[in-house]
Amino acid sequence: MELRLEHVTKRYGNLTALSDFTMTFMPGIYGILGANGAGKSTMMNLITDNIKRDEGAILYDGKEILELGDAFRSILGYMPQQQGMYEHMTADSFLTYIARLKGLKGRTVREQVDHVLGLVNLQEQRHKKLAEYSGGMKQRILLSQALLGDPQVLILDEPTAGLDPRERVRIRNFIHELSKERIVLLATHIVSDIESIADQVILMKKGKIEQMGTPAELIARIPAEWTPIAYRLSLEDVYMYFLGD
Amino acid sequence: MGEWRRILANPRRLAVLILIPVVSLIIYFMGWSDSIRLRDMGQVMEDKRFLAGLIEEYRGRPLEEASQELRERSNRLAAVSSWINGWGESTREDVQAILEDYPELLPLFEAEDYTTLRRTIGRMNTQRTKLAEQIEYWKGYPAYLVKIRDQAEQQTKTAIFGDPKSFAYRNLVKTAAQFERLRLKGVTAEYGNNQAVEAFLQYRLADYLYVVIMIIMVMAFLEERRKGLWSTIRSCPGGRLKLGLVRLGILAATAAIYTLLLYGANLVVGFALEGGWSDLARPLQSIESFKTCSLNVTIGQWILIYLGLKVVTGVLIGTSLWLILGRISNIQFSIAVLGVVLAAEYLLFALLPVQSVFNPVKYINLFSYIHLSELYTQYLNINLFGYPVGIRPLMLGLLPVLLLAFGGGVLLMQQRRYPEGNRDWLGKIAGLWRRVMDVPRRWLSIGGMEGYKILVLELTAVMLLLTWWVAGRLSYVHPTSNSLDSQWYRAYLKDAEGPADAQMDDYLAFARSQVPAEGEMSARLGSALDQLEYRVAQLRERAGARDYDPWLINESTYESIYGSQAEQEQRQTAAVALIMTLLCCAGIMAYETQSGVVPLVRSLKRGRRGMWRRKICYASLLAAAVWALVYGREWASFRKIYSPETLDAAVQNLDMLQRFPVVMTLRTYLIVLYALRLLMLLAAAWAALWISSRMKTLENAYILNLTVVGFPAFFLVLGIGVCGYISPVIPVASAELMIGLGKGWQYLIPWIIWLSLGTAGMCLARRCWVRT
Repeated sequence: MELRLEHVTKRYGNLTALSDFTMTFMPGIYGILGANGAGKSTMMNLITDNIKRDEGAILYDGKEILELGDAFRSILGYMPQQQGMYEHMTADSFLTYIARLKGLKGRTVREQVDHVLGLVNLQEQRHKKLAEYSGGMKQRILLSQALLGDPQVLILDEPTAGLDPRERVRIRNFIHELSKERIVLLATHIVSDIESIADQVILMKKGKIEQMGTPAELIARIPAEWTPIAYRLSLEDVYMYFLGD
Repeated sequence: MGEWRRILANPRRLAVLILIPVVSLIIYFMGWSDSIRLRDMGQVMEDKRFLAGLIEEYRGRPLEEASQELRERSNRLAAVSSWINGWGESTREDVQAILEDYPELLPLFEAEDYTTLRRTIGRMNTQRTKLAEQIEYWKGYPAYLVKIRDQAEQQTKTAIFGDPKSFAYRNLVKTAAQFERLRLKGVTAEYGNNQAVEAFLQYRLADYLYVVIMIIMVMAFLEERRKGLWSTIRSCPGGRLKLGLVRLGILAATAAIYTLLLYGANLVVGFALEGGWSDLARPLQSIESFKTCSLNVTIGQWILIYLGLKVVTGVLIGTSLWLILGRISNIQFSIAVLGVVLAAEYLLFALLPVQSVFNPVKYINLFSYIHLSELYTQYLNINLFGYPVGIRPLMLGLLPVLLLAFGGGVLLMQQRRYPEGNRDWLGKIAGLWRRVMDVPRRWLSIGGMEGYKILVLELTAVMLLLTWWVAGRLSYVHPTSNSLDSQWYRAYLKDAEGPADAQMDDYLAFARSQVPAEGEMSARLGSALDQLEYRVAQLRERAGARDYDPWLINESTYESIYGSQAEQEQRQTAAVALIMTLLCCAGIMAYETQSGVVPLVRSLKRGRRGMWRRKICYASLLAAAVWALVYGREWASFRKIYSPETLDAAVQNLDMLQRFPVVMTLRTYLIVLYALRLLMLLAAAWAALWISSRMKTLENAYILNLTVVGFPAFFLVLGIGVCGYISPVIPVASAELMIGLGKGWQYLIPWIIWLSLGTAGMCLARRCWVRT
């Protein structure tokens, strides 16, 4: 299983959001860090074919995803950054609908919906309208829909934003478990979320990869003289060193 | 002032608040003139002026004398119409003598413009009849009062009504006493111009628009809940009782302003157009609608009382809506509850019979205040614990009590209700309902869910109901009573309708043999038969030239629905079908964009082509449903008047289609006509999908669809012909173009253009949804 971006470029007028981006994703968690406008969401939108790329190719197991079309989308789980959902539906109806749109059929739909609602701890609130959900609950529902259909490629844009610490840890551990047989791309601003679970961390700046490596490798790249006081460096320091002003 | 500014700062709300009185006035004017075509207005105004002139002409004359003269004049002019139609006994000289008294009609007679002459006479006689009917009412009112007293005296002596402890007895005694009081005070119905007040009373839409205004204001008060600002505002020093008082003041001011705009303005327009300002000092009972009113006031006094009460009831309606909407924390659910409450109140008010034992709930009802004038135009005592209580005094007596209760209620709610943690039993019921409904929804396929979204969440089911309701109120048949054919010709035509073959010759010979040898009837029947024979010969000649079977058909059946005479009806029907199709389809694509789910849905296996296919299917099905609802009614109207066997005749047998390029039966012609209408509505639905796909909110999708396609359609129906070039109303109506095909193939162009635009719209919408 391999997802490869080859020389992908995306421009919005004069602004280059993603510039000649090349990267190969294998099963595991890829934490993507970067400031606002670094190109994280653009990359995710390109992989989900929600925006049109200007140049380059995106290949899944060597085949162009545009040619794969529905076949690629059937192994994709996507959690967008915006909390967009059918707010007049109940969580139960919404997830059932998404499951059907993912091509699930018969009893599997029911089983999967029950399963993902249990994973995000929303079994009790499944008959509430989504409009009545808090921000954190909506976030969990969005994550749960991404997990429907057991996707091989999971693209999560800010999955833990708005969650309380307990839920964040729960979700983080759960994503870690999932990553063993899947490609998980996880974009976030919360550095601590990926520090403990990411196999690879990608630091993005102005549409390009600034640094990439395991958290330990990245920490090791910070020169000792950068910190006047000796303390245990974290991924946050990596962020500040490579992406800070 | 800050609260006013906040309410009016919302541009959409402000636009609606301004538009409602304007639209109300336009609709009032249209209803008043019985027409929506601008070019008919001149005629209508002329008729109104004629009636006003007639009223002035007979003012001060004894009622009996005026009535007799009006009748005589009508009869004399009716004789002229009869002469034009070919029946009656008047001669040309008699007619000329009659018309010497009408200098405005004589030139038409001399110019032999009999069609216009007959129409003008018809219109003049209609106005005379109106006045004569009113005079009969004024003459009979004193006797009516005496009759009430005498009837009560007689009935109270019978066994059924004679028990003094019964409601029936008390009701009779009370009714008689109230009207006897009027008689003793010398109240009578006086001669004068009632047109403006009568027209004002008939206009009920203002009552509903007044409620809409109140709902808008109350929704504006509750906006803070929708925007998540309730807690913030409640935590401010002036955010509780003080704000409640300010809002109550705003509600009262709104009620006063819109009473003037929705009711006062209509009255002023009515008086300006119909006259009658000087007749306001007459007793209220001078207006026939107030025949059963027992109130001793003048018309002018009643208008002032009515407008004053309208303001007070406006506040009452506003506070009651505020209480209902404000009591439930969930705004959407509260709107649903309000809808149910208003619907229940309306059904009780409209459907319960007056004699029902449950009539207290019919009258002690919010709609008694909404349709306030009915408290004055209806005299009714309801049975309250065996005693007759008048609905007017009862409801007006309850008014201050309810006002105090509702006003106090909203202030208390504003002061005490918490933004969170309230006991919400209605919310619990809603939760239970959702839990139950989730079970069937689990079994819905993608198509089923799409249908659920479109019909339920986007409220398209309501649109379809509205279409059914509007279609039931359209007029599909154009009256063709002005035909110059004599009644004898029409009778022969009806009898002989069928193939113009040898049997037709036998029929004509037989009919000829039945004509009396001499006398006036001989001439009339002979002339009608001549006309029929000429028609048959003409049809045979036409059929021979194009090789089809000649049929004698009563043209007026087809002409009155599918012909040029019914052009206005066809356009009106097409405009309604078109606008309703747009409203049904406008939200199909925009709903996803508004919900913000587009990136998510497009990342799913069946979120692109799969969902698109279902969307286009639903758009097409909705267009077909609108077509069936609207044109089904038209077909039903046609079924009532047509002869089924004539459907086998070739279309060329109808004068209007004699040049139609393809020989086909009327059945095939009608199938093609209705199929073309369906195709055009499908094209409109597809175009609406594209517009919808470009919009970010449902609201914008509705507005843009209506602006681009709906308004030109509306203006075309109003008579602004240039809109025919930019609106698909004419291709949807299709009949005009089908008739036009006889003149050339260029009449195909509008269909081709609109079908191309619809197909292009569909392709673009698909591209927008399926491709990146």
